[in-house]
Amino acid sequence: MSTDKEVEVKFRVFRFNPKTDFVPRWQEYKVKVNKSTTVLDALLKIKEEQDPTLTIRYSCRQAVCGSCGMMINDRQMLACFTRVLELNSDVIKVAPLKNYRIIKDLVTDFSELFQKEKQVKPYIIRHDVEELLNPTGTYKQTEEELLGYIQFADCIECGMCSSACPVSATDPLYLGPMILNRAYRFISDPRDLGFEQRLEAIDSEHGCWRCHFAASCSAVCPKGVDPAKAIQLLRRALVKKGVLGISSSKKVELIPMGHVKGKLELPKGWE
Amino acid sequence: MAIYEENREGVSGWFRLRRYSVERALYLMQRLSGIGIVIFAFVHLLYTGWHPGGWGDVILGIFVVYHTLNGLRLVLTEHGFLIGRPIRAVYPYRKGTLYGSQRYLVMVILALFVIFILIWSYVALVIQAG
Repeated sequence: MSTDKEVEVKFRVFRFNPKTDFVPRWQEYKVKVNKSTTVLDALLKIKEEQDPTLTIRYSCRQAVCGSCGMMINDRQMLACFTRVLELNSDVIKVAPLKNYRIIKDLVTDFSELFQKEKQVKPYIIRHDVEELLNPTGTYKQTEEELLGYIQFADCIECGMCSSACPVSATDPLYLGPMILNRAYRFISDPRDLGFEQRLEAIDSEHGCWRCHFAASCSAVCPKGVDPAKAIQLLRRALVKKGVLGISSSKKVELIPMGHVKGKLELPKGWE
Repeated sequence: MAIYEENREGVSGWFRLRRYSVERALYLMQRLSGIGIVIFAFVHLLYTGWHPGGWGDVILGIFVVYHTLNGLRLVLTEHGFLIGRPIRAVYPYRKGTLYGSQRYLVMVILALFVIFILIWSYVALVIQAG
């Protein structure tokens, strides 16, 4: 079968251990791949058969955990979600994600990113403590309300959007598309009442006003989240609040909701 | 070394355009044209009677016209217009900021840019010189 036909591909892999190396180096490996081999499969093959010192991070192998984001041929991609032969390249260049501190080889440090994420309080904030402690029912929401935020809730926190952002490249304090998308996901959730509490982080010099709409975050997102849209809608909400004087309690006026055609809108092929 | 460990691209990141969407190139040109206009504005404040003349005027026109037209696009998109409403993300993903109205607006501003620059170049190179 043609799917089993193996082709030899050259991998140029970024190697750097900050504790022992002075400068990074590129190491070349030759790997036999077939139509279904992903970049992650190939890297694991290198690690098993050629060089056990190669360091990579991965977990689910199915684009759900967001651990294996890396620069593949100079673009942010998930290694588990990218087939080698679909890249149409004789040499596959693999490097760690840009704009994150390197731990070793292809592994980058996200701790700074998650520290920044805490600033936007990425959880649902409510004031009815009694109801939270002793619930009497569920918090209901309509299909329109759900469609208003469900796209942004699909984020797997792979950090590739913040790596692709040209603003993050020059401003280490910028919250970045991943975190601003996270903020908008909770702000646009009708159950959440914490808009005001997140303002200090998002309505600031290094918050959503720092975005210049290069839209690279949306271009590289592997889950269709569209963080650039989340940031622009966040700004829209802030302008409506600040300029038009709409109260943050009137969420329906600040946040656009999804369109529901008919009773329930299902994607094509889901019927 | 710390600089390699930090792995931050810096300004060189602006220029890495391959494999990204056209908006990144527009962003780079917006930055560069903005810097160009600021430099001209300083010179212009010091020597109010001076202007580059000839091809210099054409380049200045390119900076100003591009910065204005793309700026209008950014004013619209950055206030949440023309980027589509939130949708359910279903594969193959079509992201509102990279398709549809926003992309048409990109084509419109680039077309207007070419038209304005042709007119301005004619004025700067033929009418003013003649």
